[in-house]
Amino acid sequence: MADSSQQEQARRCGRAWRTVLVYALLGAVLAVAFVGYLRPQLVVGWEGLMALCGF
Amino acid sequence: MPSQPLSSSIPSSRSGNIVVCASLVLLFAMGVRATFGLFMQPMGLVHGWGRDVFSLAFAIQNLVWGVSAILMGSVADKWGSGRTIVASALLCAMGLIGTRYAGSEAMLYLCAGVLVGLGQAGTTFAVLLPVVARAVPPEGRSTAMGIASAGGSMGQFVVVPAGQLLIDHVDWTGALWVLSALMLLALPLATRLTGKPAHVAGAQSLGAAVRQAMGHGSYHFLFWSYAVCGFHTAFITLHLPAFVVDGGLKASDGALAIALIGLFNVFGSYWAGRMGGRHSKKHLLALLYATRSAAIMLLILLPLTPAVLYAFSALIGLVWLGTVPLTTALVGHIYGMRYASTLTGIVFFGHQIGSFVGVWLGGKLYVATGSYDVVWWISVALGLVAAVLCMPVRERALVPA
Repeated sequence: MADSSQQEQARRCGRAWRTVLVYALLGAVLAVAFVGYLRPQLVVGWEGLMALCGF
Repeated sequence: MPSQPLSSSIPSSRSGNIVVCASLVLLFAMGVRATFGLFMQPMGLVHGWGRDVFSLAFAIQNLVWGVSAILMGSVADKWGSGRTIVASALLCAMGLIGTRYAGSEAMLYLCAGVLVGLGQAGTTFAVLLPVVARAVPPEGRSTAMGIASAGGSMGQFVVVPAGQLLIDHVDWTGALWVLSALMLLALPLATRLTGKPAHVAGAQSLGAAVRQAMGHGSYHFLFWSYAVCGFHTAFITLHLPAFVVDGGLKASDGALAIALIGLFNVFGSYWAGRMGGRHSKKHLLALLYATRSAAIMLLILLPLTPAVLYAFSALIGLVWLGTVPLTTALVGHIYGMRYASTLTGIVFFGHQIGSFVGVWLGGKLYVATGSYDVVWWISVALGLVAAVLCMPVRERALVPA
């Protein structure tokens, strides 16, 4: 009984850590990409971004 | 490839795999497409092409994408999504390599316009979202489509700076090869996205399904509201930069605005899909379109400062592509999953018509009036019209005729 509840707790803990890791990774990727937009090469060419999201 | 079984019989781990694989294919396809503008300057310098040449290539790409989304959708419905994705990814990769070696304007139009447009049609929303929708139980469809759409949004956001980095380090020629290889990553992923809707003897034919949808008012409401979505996104993407500079702000403010739209779009797409599983999708769509109108009014009524621009960008980003999972989910819900790819493709054609008009009218009215004011107000009005159009949509499954 105690074993199964410990296993369940460990599973939940593992899942929580995985979730935190996935969100941290996502946040890091988005942050790096965001910084990429501020590089002069991207700032200069307006038309260079015209295909983003729409046309 | 076997017919895809009913969603309830698919184990959840397989559903999860399908959602992840579809998100990645969307990430690659939408990301690669978003980088195209980056090649204008370096390619133009080498070949002596101006922005008119590239603009026409993009226009062809968008129109081919819109028209062939119907074709690719029906191919996926008939012969399976896996094959469609494989063929389309190969077409896209060929188009990118062809763009690398294009020595004439005609070759650019063929490769960057026609081939990439065809490839995009089979590796984006019209084909991918119905696969996701079929893989999960009805109650989870909207959320799953929101996740996949967020994958596409993330591609648009992340691959653009990565593409610029590639151009800086391996030149535009090498960058096109790398992007082509990125598209080929869709091939192994497509093996997880196989199948087509189960065929039932005596069931509705494709022609009957299309006729039934065409005769149903809600389909037209979705078509035209989606066209407004295309109008907004295309006009804002292409003309916001000029508007910002005209208003006395710096180019870097504009770059940050575009980045904010892309960033908030990732969260907005996911949020819209998730909310669509809990609330009325047509009401959410109406809310998104009305919010767009409010955001645009904020931009044109308040004095243009960086803070106002960033607030506008964040708000419009939140409601940018959230329309995609909601519209696609509504089409699947009302008209069924059997021909969802074809019917979504037709609605997406409306989106591309709106895109074309948005870009064209933006430039035309700017030249005629000397400012973007008229087009902004048209955008406000269209957002409200789209919101009103969504309200009478009958959010109930139709019995196949």
